Amino acid sequence: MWQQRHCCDLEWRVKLSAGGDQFTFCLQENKAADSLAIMSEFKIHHHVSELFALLGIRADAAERYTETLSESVERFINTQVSASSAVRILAENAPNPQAFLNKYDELKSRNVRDLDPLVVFLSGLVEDETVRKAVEGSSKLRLQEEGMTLTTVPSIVSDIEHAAETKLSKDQLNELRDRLLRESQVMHAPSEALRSVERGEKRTVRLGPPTPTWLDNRPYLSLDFVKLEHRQAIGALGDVASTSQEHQLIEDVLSVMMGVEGMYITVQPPAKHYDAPEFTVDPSVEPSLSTLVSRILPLCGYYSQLIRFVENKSCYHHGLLLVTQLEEQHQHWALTLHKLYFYVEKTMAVMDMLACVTRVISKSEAHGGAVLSILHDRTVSLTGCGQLQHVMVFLTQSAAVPYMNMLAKWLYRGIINDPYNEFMVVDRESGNEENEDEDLADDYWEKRYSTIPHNIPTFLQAHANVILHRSVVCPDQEELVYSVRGCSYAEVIERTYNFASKRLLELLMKEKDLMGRLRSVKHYFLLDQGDFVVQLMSLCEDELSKNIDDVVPTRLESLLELALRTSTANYDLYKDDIECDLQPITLMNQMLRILSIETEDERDYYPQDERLQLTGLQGFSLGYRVTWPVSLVLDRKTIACYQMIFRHLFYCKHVEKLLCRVWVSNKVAKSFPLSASRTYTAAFALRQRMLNFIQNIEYYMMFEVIERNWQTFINKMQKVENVDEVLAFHNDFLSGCLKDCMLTSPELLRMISKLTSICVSFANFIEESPEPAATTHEDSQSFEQTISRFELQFSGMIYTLMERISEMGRDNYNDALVNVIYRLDFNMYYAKKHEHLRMATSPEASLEYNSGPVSAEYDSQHT
Amino acid sequence: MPCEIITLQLGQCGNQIGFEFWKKLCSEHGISPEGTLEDYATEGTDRKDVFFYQADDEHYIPRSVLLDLEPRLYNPENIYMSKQGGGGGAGNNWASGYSQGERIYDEVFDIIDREADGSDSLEGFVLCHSIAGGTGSGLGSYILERLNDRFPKKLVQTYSVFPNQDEISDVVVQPYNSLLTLRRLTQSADCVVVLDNTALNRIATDRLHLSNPSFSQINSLVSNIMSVSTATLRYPSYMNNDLIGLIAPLIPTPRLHFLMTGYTPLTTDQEVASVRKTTVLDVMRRLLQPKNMMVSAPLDRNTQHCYISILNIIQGEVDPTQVHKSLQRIRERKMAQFIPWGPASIQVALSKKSPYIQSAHRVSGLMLANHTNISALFERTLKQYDKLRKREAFLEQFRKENMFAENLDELDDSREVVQHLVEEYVAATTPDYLSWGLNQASTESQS
Repeated sequence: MWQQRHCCDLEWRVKLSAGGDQFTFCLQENKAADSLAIMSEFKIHHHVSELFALLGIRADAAERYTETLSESVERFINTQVSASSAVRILAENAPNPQAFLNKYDELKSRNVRDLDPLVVFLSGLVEDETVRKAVEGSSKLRLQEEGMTLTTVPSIVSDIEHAAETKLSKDQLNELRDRLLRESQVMHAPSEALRSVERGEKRTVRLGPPTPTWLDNRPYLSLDFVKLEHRQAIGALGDVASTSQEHQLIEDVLSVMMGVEGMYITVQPPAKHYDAPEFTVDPSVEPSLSTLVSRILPLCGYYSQLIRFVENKSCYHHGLLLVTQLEEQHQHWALTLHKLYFYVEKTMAVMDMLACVTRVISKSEAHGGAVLSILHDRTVSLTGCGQLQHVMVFLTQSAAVPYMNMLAKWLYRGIINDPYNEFMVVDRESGNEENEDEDLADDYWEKRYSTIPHNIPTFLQAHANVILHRSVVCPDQEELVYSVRGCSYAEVIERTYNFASKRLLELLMKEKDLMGRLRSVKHYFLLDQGDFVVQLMSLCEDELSKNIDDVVPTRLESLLELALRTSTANYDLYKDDIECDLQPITLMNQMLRILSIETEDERDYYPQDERLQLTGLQGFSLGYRVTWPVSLVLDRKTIACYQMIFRHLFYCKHVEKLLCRVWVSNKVAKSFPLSASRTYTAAFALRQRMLNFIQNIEYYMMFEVIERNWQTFINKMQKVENVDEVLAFHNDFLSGCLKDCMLTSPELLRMISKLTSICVSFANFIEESPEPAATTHEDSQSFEQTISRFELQFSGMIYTLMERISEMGRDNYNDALVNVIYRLDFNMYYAKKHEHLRMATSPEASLEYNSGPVSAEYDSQHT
Repeated sequence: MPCEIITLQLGQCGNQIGFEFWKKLCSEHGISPEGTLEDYATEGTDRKDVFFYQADDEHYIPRSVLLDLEPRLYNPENIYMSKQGGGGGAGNNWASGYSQGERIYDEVFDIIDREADGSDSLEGFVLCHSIAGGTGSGLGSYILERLNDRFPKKLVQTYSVFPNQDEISDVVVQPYNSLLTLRRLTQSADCVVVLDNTALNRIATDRLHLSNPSFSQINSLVSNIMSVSTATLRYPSYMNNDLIGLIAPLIPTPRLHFLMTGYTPLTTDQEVASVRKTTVLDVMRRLLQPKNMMVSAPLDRNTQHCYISILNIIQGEVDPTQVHKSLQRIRERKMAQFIPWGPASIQVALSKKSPYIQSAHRVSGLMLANHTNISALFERTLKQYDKLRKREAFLEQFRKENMFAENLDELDDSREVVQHLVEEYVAATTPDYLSWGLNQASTESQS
């Protein structure tokens, strides 16, 4: 993944620097597009957002762009036609159409995979004005900020010149260029390194055992027209009689076929190593014979090509047999040129094809799985021409043997034995495998193995994901053999995958007691065993009411330990895996972070001053230590979701506790004389309303959301068949909880947190207000005023909340959420009162709700 | 351990229901009469420490203080028996019980303090007593007042047995006793669970078809209520894991803290088969029916009495989605009338059941309700008091004690407090309850 991302990143930078001259960087982008094409929509989203963050473009553009992208992904899977039209569009837009088309053809001829999708993608890019502008604009920005070190200086200069045509003045341009040049000189070393990396990507990496030196030392061993140093001068053949001419020629042809230059047929070595050498026949030879010979000669050329290919790849060649047979006949003087041609003709076609294949392979610098892809494509395209296809199938089959062995080993044993980097799955961490510490909790498994897109043979493409995700040792083993139809290995792959998945499921459910784990997680994170939380809260209250930076984590840890030992959690087997986790961001920001896609860089975007306002209570959360394979289910993201629910519930519990404490301190009032106690009635009523609100929210979340979803989850888990289902069900459970607990709607959460903060300020106010005996008349009046202000705020907020929820209920029939209203306003108190207010007023009433932030005022005075 | 609760059992009645309560708790937690855990109960996820403490590794001892009776199981150090002897100690006289309390204050509170010190974070006291007799009412009143002084931040909940109105009591001063106790219950208790002997007897005869219900049969009804109402404390679940969380939402204003209870299914063994299919809605609907209420309050035609708050504790196999549906049904059909001056709702706590007790019922439910109609009970007490007081009957017993030696102001004050309580309950049925006290106060200050 990282490499892909890096790749994308790199290519895009290159592209940006190129500005308008997109087509010159086709090759690099091609790789980017390649990775884009195989990405799921999510990944596209991820990459786009990252890319855009990199470019500093607004997020909504990213959204739109993602859509376009995923659309186009679908499009180019389906159609070839769009490719050609896209080429046309690109050509029209390019400043130099001919150059572009040439480049395109060249790439096409080199059989670069996913070229067409890229072209479509690019054309989409060109057509979409906004994106192009954004890309161009930010590329300029980038240039100004950093000075491109990633591309060559001239390209920058030309790019800037290009940009200058439209935007920059001459002075600015010169200045910029000077600076760029200077910087690029400074950055010369890294840019060198980068370029060499790029080059390295293009070159096939030589790995494995070294080719034996005798291959170089003994050039004649493989007979590929090695230049003879001393050539004898020979008379023209035309002087000799026709029959002996023929005899001589056959001898020559045969030697040429074996890669030795003949006496009358001379060889010009090819310009490029993959093209066929050219042959010239002595011009004095009789014309009929010479034409015949020239028809045979391409075969020799093909042979030469094969030899070269084979030599290059240091394999064993098996073309000599045919020539040896022919030679034998020739020795007996039984061979005429015509006969020779007759013998050779059939072989010609085969050789022709082989030569063609080898040319393509060496041209596109294919490697590993890619070779297989080419072979497979060729085989499929040859359906119908019996013998040729037969040969190709044989060829592909033998070529696929090592690959298939690798695949089998991976499937059955989970071992990657790939000295030449040819296999499609790559182990990122081979070497320090034993180092399985905390990384495991993350999406380690996902990251450790990844596929190399260009090493996936096309016939295995469909199974690539399945192949990647298998991870358990299989006992039975079967031979994997290549075939055109591809059903046999599909079956095997499918079977091993299912087997692996089932074994993993068993491991999870039985040995690792996944359900027990989840139940334990539920105890702590979803407050299923309330006494633990009550205990924890009363123990940690002093510590947690400090600012989050002043909280001592070790003290908290020991208090947590104490709470675990002294509550019913003590009977839980997994209680030791619980730990404290203080999160320096508000629940709101955590939610926003989880909703959007999380990346490392985003961490820095969060304002630091937020920390200052956060108390330990608001930031407190639990952590959970998981080991593989439970970490498959409880990965970091899942735990983060649990943590969000926990924080939400925990804070609600805290507010409930505060209000209950107010109740306790209010209880003295029952022995007050009537006149004194009545002063407080409004405060009592407000406290009751708050308590009613917070408890009903809790009841709703716990019984109607969590417990209900949990039951559904449990029911589903009883019929679960593989690990994927476990993950899916668990995900459903969590996302259901999050959604119905209002943790996916920033708007609702904001209202809830506002309501809770009003409750907290109210509770603090009551706690600090003096005993009634000490109050004077003015005191009690100001007390009443403050209470009524709190009341207005609270009522205003709760009306807004209920209105918003019922609106949401109307918009989109959301069964669970509307239930909150039933609970919050069971006796229609708010509904009636609100109705009453609306009848009686008046915009003033609504203004009053929003009057002065009492809580804020109060807080600033008292804390 | 947090949230411990100390139980105080006062007088004959208090000790009887207390005894049944502990019997029930022990069987639910699998604690043998010797105080050791039964073999089947060693791996429980229940919380025994709320009501019991561990004397050693094996023995669980109830956190209870008994005043005047002698059972076997209890910590003998916690039993206080009056040395006066004869005639039930206080002679069924509130004044005698109260003044005895003054005398034995040090000894009793030594015991209570010791118990309180033995708990890590004591949450409150539960007091079992009757309001009609001598010890339960008189000593009970005294102890209530002192508890409030001594532990102002602790909760005091009482299970108070109100006398049976259907039979003529042998305690002639019962109206005096009740009134005087009611005053303390109003002013010194935080939450009073009213156990009306009248209703309990009616339920026993009408619903359980017991022709002549015995004390122990009635008491097992009571102990059932007591154990279920503490179930959420002992079997922790999402909510209501401490006493305050349980009672705070039920009691919006401090004085209106008298709770009615209802329980269903109320069945004898023969009827078991027919109630097996009970649903949550059935349970919740039945709980709203007056015949299942353990308080007999005559219907008052003049006042629209209503619920101030309701908490249903439902036990058994319950599908959480059913709860919501039942709530919705009840709301639509307006099966329960609520106060007009604030939000009020039926809270439903789903609680676990003891795994050691086989119950024939799939679902059972207890309702704790704060209903304004409870004032009818106090009105009845006032009426009976007024009758007796008009005749100046049986007052000499009271005059013997210091408190009443000079005047009977205490009686008059108590009457006023109870009268106010009744008025407040009636006021709570009206939308302007919140300003009721203010008007009252202003008229008071004007006059």
